[in-house]
Amino acid sequence: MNLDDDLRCALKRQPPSPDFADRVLARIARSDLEGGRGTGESGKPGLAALRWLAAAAALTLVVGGSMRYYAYQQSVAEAERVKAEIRLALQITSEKIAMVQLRLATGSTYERSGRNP
Amino acid sequence: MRSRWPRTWIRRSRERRTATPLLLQPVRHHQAMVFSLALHALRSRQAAEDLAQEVFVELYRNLARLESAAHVAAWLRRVTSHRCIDELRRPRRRLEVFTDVLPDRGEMPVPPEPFLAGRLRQLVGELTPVARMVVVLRYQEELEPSEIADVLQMSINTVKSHLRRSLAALRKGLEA
Repeated sequence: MNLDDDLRCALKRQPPSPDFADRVLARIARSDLEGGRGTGESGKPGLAALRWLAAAAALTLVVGGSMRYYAYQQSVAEAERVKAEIRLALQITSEKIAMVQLRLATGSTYERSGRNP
Repeated sequence: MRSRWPRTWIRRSRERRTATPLLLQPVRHHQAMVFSLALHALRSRQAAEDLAQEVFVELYRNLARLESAAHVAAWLRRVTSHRCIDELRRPRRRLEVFTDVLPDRGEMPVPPEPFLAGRLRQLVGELTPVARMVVVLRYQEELEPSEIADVLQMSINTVKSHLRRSLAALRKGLEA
């Protein structure tokens, strides 16, 4: 045999002790107990809960901010609508007054000339 | 060798997030690979079992990130190799290895193992940590240099260089 085959033979896989898997599971269970349940992937206690709390706080901020912005937008739109209505009303009033002034001016001209309008 | 377990155990383990017997399947499937990598690198059954257990505990913690059985196998190989190299580089470990070869209370130094396989394992144990891991991955796992480069995160040329020099050292050791 050459060196490659000799090395393959020398370094072939070997089984661990028969209770290896059981000891791995026991170690995992022990580390879970030590770290507390729901510790998350990092294994640091309370980190998962802290992440959830931060996520909830961020969500509350986003939802609250969105609602306030929507309400502000609504009030701005309402103000614009009222302003437009007032502008229209003033315009109509102005036109009416102008019409009345015109009629009054026309009536006084006829009276001066002695003719009926 | 490709793993063939269904993906369901990964999904179920991920959902439950507990050390249920579901984890037994990957442990039993890969225990020989992980343990042997550690054994051939560290040359101590006790140290190899400890390291292999730590690797499987880490697997349990990272299970949610692993997508397939092949991914799990590659992950185990990579983590085990790096942990072995770290372990071999630790100063305390070096001292242990050093004291192992010192004559104890006037006894003669440890004689070379008489059988070829044992002698080869002994010579592999004298290589540098990275070279040792390269040789173990090449001949235990039968990985190609490109795959070893991927596992150890180094260039293929570095892997080939390690292999070439290690084989030369092993031949020289056998002839001595």
